[in-house]
Order: sequence, then C-alpha cells, then structure tokens
Amino acid sequence: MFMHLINFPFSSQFTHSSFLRIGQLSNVDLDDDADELETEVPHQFPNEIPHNEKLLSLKYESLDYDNSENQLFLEEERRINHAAFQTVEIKRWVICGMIGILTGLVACFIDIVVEKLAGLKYKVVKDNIDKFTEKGGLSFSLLLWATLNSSMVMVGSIIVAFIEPVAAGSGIPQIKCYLNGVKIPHVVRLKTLMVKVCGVILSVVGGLAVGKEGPMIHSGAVIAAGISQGRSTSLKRDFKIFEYFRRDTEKRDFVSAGAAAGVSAAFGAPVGGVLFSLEEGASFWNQFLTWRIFFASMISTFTLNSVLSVYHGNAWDLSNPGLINFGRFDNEKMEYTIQEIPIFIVMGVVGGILGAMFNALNYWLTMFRIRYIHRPCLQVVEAMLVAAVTAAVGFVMIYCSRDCQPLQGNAVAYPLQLFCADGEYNSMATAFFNTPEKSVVSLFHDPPGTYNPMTLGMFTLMYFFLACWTYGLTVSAGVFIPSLLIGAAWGRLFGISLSYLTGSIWADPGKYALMGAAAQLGGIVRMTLSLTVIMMEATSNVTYGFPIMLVLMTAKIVGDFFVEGLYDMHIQLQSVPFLHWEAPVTSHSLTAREVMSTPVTCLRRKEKVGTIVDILSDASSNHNGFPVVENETDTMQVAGLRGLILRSQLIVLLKHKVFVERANLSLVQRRLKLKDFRDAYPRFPPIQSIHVSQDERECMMDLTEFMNPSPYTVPQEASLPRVFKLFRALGLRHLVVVDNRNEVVGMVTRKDLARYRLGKEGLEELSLAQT
Amino acid sequence: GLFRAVTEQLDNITRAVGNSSKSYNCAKSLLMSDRLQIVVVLSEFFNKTWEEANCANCLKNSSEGLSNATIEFLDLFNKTLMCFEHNLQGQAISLVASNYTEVCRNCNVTYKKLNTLYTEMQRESEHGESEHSKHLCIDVEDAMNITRRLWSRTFNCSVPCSDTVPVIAVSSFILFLPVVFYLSSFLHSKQKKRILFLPKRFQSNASLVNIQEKYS
Repeated sequence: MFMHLINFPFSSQFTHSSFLRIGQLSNVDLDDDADELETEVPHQFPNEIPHNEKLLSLKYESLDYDNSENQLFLEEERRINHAAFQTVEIKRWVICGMIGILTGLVACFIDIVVEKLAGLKYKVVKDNIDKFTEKGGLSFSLLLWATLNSSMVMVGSIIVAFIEPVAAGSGIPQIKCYLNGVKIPHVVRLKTLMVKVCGVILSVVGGLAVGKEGPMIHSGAVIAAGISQGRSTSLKRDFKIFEYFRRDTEKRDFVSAGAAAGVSAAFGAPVGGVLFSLEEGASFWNQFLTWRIFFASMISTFTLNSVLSVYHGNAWDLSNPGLINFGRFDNEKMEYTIQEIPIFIVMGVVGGILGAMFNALNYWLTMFRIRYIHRPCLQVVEAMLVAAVTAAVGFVMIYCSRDCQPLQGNAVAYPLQLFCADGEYNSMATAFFNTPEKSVVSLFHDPPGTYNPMTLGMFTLMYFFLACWTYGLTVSAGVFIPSLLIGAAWGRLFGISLSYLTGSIWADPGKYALMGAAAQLGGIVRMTLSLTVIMMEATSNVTYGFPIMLVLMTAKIVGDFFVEGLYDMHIQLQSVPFLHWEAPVTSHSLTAREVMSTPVTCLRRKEKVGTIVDILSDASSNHNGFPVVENETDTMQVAGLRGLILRSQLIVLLKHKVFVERANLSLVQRRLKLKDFRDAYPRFPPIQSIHVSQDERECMMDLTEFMNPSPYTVPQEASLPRVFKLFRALGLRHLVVVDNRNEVVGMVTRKDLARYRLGKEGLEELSLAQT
Repeated sequence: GLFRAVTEQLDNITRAVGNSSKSYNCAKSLLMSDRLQIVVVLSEFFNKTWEEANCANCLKNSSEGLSNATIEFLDLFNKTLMCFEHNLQGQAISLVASNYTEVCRNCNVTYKKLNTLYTEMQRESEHGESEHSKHLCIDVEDAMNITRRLWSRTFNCSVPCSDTVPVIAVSSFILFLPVVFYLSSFLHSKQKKRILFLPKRFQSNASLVNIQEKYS
C-alpha cells in the first residue's frame, strides 16, 4: 500500500483521502486504492507546446496580504499604545502627501524634457527640409528624420530590453496585476522607475506613435512602493522610518494611492485616478483608503500644475492640471442637443468595432513577437525599424499632400511649407510633424474648415496601423494618446461629413472629435467608470459626462462581443494568473476537492531542521506556504491543522538559527522580534544562501510562536465560487482545505483558482507552464 | 495723426472731471445721453481696431512717424512692385496662368530679400508680451500678402515639386526593411516553446462539469 506511511498506525483510516505526506518527499503511489476516483494521466499529453494564451505561468506568485497573526504580532500590538496608533495614522497621511508631490514632480520632469528634446528634433528636421526644398535632395531630409528617430528609439529600447524588461509597455497591465494580488517580479523597483522614465522620454521624442500618460501610472506606483518602505534596497540605504509599513498589505494600499496619483498627474483628473484604483483594486477597498488616495491625487495634480506654471513663466496661472490638456470646451460654442445622442451612440458602435479590430491585430502581432522575437537584440532592431518606418510614412504623407492652408496664428509650432505657396503651410505636416498631444488638442478645437477630409482620412488610416504595430514593442510607451488621436481624427471626419450631408454648419466637428476619441479609447481599453470621469475632468465640462458615458458603454458592449480589452489581452498573453471579480458563472458544481493541489507538504509543530531545509531546497516544487500540523503524541490523536507558516518566515528563522536546543542552552542572545522579519522583507534570501551544518540539521525547531495560528480553511465540499470569493475578497495566498476532522487534505493557491475561465464554449481550464 | 487727434479730444472730455459738478455734467451729457451711447461705442471701436491692427508696431516709439524697419520694408515693397511692372511691360496680367518665367527669374532676388526682411520683422515682434504685439502692423502684413499672392498664385513662381524619384526609392527601402526582418525571424528563430507542468491533483472520473481542455 502506501509504503512511506508505514510509520503511522492509523494509516488504515486513510483511504482515498490519504494524500497526506508529512515530512516525506517520495512520490505518492497512486495506483492502488484510488482506482475508482482517479483517471490515468493521458500519455499523449504533449509536454512542450508553442506559446498560446491558454496557459498560466509558474513564475508568478501571490502577494502576502493576509497578516500572520502569530504571537510576535500579538506582543507587538500589546506594546503599542493608542498614541502610537495615531502616529501611524498620521504617517500614512504624510506618505500619501509625499507620493503626490513626487509623482507630480516626475511628471513635470518628463513633460519638460520631452518638450525640449522634441522641439530640438523638429527644429533640426524642419531646417533641413526647408533648406532642401528648393535645392532638391529631400531624400536626405527623409534619411535624417528616420535616423534621428531610430537612434533615439534604439537607446530607449536597449535600456528596456537589456536592463529591465518589465518596464516595457505602458505598465498599466502590470499594475492591474499587482493590485489584483500577483507578485510580478521587479515591477515596483527603483531601477524599473529609472528605465521607465528615460524610456518614455526617448520613445516620445523618437517619434513613435505612443503617449506618455500610461507610464505615469506605473511610475506613480513605483514611487509609492518606494517611499512607503522608508528605505531603498537597491541603494542599500535604510532611513529607519515607516518600519510598520514593511508588509505587502500596507504596500498594496500605497501602490493604489501611487497609481491614482499617476493617473491624476497624467490627465489632470484626480477623481478619475481614485476611481481607476477603485476599479482595479476593489476587493480590498475601505473608506479611509478612499480619502487618503484622493488626497494623494489632488496633491499630485496641484504640484504638477504649479511647477509647470512656474516653468512657463506665469506662476499661479494653474492652467496645466495634467500632462495632457484637452483645452476648454465652452458650453456656448460646443453644446449638444438631444437629437445628437443617437449619433453619438452610432459613433460608440464604430469605436467598439474599430477597437476590436485594433485589439485583434495587436493580438496576432504580440503572439508572433512572443514566439519568434524573444531575444533582446531582435527586439531592439524591431523597435528601430518601427521608428524609421514611422518617420518614412510621415514624410511620404507630407510630401504627397497638396493641401495647403494659411497659418492661423501660432497654432503650429513647426510649420512646414514644403511645396506650398508662401504664407501657406502643408496641413498634413500639422498632423504628423507634431507631438500627438498637440495634434489631439488641435483636432478638438480648430474651427471648422481647418482640415481637409482627404488629409484626415489618410492620416487616420496610417496612424491606426502604426499605433497597432507600435504597441507591444520593447519600449516604455502608452496607448492612451494614440487611441485618442485616431478617434479624434475619424470623429472629426464624421462631423465634417455630417455637416456636409445636412448642408449646414451646425455640426461642430470638434465636438464629434471628442466623442470619436472617447469611443476609440473605450473600444480599445474597455475601461468604463474611470475613463468616463477622466474624460469629464480632462475636458472640464460635466455636461459632456452623459454622452461620453453612453459612448463608452456602447463601445465596451460592442467591443466585448468580439475580443477582450487590450490590457486584459496582454495579461492573458503573459500567462498571468489573474483573478477576475467573480468566479466563472457555471462553476458551482466544482468543489474545493477538484480545485485544490494535493498532496500538501506539511510540517509538524516541532520539526527537525534537516527536514525543513530539505523541503525548502526541493527544486521540483516551489511551495511558499506549509500547513503546520500537530505532532503525534499518542496514537488516538489526529494530526489536525494547527497553523500556517510561510517560506519567508522559515528562512528568517533558519538564518537566525532559532533552534530549540540553542534556546535551552541560552545560546540565543535575544528573542526574535517582528522587526527581524520586517527587515528581511521584501527580498528574502534564497535557501541556497543559508548554511546549515550537519549537527544543526539534527536540531529541532519550534514553529508555535511564529506560525499563523488561525489560517483560513475551507471544507472539501465547498463550491468553487465560494472558495473564489473567500480567496479574492481577503486577498489570500494559501487556503487550506480540511476534512471534517480538521486534517489537511489539500491547498488552494492562486494558480488553482485562476485556471478556470469562462471561454467561448463554456468553462475551460488552462494548463500550467514554465515560462 | 487723425487717430491721435480723436483720442486726445475724448481724453479731454473724460478728464474734465474736476471738483465742479458742472464739468461732470458736461461729460455726462456728451457721453451718456442716450441708450446707444454712440460716442463711447465709437471710441471703443477705434481703440480696438488700433490695437488689433497693431498700428503702434509701425510707428516709432514716440508715435511721430514711421519706424526705420517699416520704412525699409515699404521701400523694398515698392522696388518689388516696380520690378514686376518692369518685367511685365506689354503683357497684361491675366488671371489665366501664362508664361511669367521672366518675372520669376528677374525679380527673384528682390522678392527673396523682401521675404527675408518680413520673416525677420516677424521674429523680432514675437518677443512682445501681449497677444497683439505678436503680429506686425496691418499695413505691412497686407502688403506682404498681396505680394505673396501675386508671386505664388498669379505668377506661379513657387518651387515645383522635385525630387520624387529619390524620395520614393528611399522610402520604399525603409518600408521594405521590416518585411525582411519579420520573414527572417520567422524562418530562422527557434519558436519559443512552453514546457507544461502537470500538477498533482485529485481528479474525478465522473465529469460533472463541462470542462474543455484545449491544447493548441
């Protein structure tokens, strides 16, 4: 039968549920008893498959939100008096304020540097084009533009690909996962922040079809995670403040404040930022958090506003609340009537369809990239090529366009005359030869008749494909502004054709440009509540809230019918075990027994050091939580669950050599305190760096003081939605499944729950893979 | 001159508010006698037009005569127009595009000098503080517009579209590079495979749940 259980006299009581291995690592023999309940693993199971989106990666762990209420924690709480708790609360507010200020400053830095460098680049190219227009040799200008673009993007891509790959993309999917509870490696490190800021500057100045707003959210989150710990592990400096907050629970709260501050700095939308954090991290929300996050967002936008006002020379003008400023939408000039609402809904449908097309194209492209372009040098070359092609496309469009318009004041910073008459300028250049933010603003606010429909149409088409190609490259870049620009362009086209059809000029194309931008953005990212409020705040007009909400809802409904949102799609392609808000609807018949992982490696309350070291060093399985069961004192007692201990805690214990024999011999100078665990957080040393001698392996370790004495458990017959709700709402990392005698039967972790998904044909199960 | 006289008179009227109530009544009866308040409206109009036309830009600081730059500009402008007339002698300027190559060739230098002077004047005025002082005075701007329209539209002397072949060649080359890159990475790179991990689970024979496992 079960040879290794021969030591346990009560083994006959275990039948099919005896998948309990205590302190032994041999493989469970499954063939005998469990015939009627087990199927053989199919032999034709393919072991190596090309990457697809129906996989979950093993490298992602959960964050430890659940507080380990061991004896050390209870002692600390007894020691802290009420005044100290007040101090902790005040410290939280101070940290949120600092997060807001620093995020605002980083946003200012990015904005100013981008403005300066982009201005320099455009000036150089413009002078070159002006010089060569008469003399001939415009191909040199094209080469110059392409080379400038390529070189800047090359630097930007090299730092991302070789130094910190997690800084690629906009960072919003990674922060979504972090707030969901997944520990993405390196996502909130200082190095990531540096690479991200430099990367986004180089990408935008390099002329790629990208925006700089998305990366602000990631930057805000990193700043929050860094400040709240009161030390820098990368720079090896400990400021010895905020030690209470060195836990995943506290860090997560501050990261949501940081993400909100990032949104607020990017769009000038503080309430939108709060709602963004709420939408992503709703499972752990509490009211105090809302107030603090709002504080951080407000401080962030105020800091950005004042610093930029001082920089532009009109201090206290306070007219730049965000990195992107949509301009003033006056009610008199741009009002809408009730008859236009159906038109807006139609635009929402168009936005949804176009967004689904964008996402589908990007999906195939990203799949190709993951499968074939996975070496860093290839990724850098790809980014350079995209930059060069962007420049070439822009140049060819400008060259072939015969649309000349007289200049309207100082609307365009770098007007290109090219082959137009004197005093007139190429209008395709105003679209392509500009940073995307300025193009969006001019599409919203330029008077009717500024744009030629043909120019706009060609621009929309080219930019759509460029933006789709660019997202997913190994550069730091966002997708908000390109989507807004595509939508504003076809929205304005819509408005122009509408006024042409009705024969009157009553349709102000700027208003339709705004609705088109909202529709396209909603169709691509599928965010609803936060995006509505962000757009409402960015246009500083509450009356536009209603049509924007309708447009976004329509775009989401239509888009969801075809394909997922862009960020969710990328999360799936990265095989992250993301838990949605609820369990899949048809899964009530699955019980905890089918979901759980079994057998579970348990530890006894007093365990031999050698056993513990062997279990931790086992390379075949990377367990992080171990149920602690009672030592068998006599034959009648069952090995019931007594607590849960984490790998990180065991490592700290091994490092400090907290052995029973040493305590007896009073070799231990002082008792271990909670501070020792917090000091080791978050980068706990791996087990390979802990040296245990042969004698020490025979010592015993008492886990009673350090384990979590009340872990959350769930009976075997609990349904999947019930397990899911408990796991998700509490942000657990391990959930122990027990039988009716409180014996450990299995363990539910994030990967066990995340593999059930509602697919197109019903409930489907994802496989786990090594990535 | 005229404008200054008008402003002076109005100032006299409005400033004549001394301690005596008689002068105040005089101002009141002139300025606010009826609903239309025509005097005030007209004076506002004159002031606004003067500001928007930025007439102050053409005049010297003390408002006594034209500034040096304006004089230079008008001089060049006259020279350009004379050059046009000179080269067109005998030909009537028709709206149909005809052969004006002589004009283009001979007057090129003068026109370019005028253009450069105008751009310089524009650049200098950009350092002004208010919105209006960013433009030059309206007389100069109108003169420039007329010249430009003559040059580009009527005489058709602007730069023709050149360089088509090299531009097409270079851009096609650049557009072709990604195709080569993707094809070569598709053919040469090893496709990234994922090693499946089979966890140990408690599997039930009777599938009460409609689960579909898909392996691609």
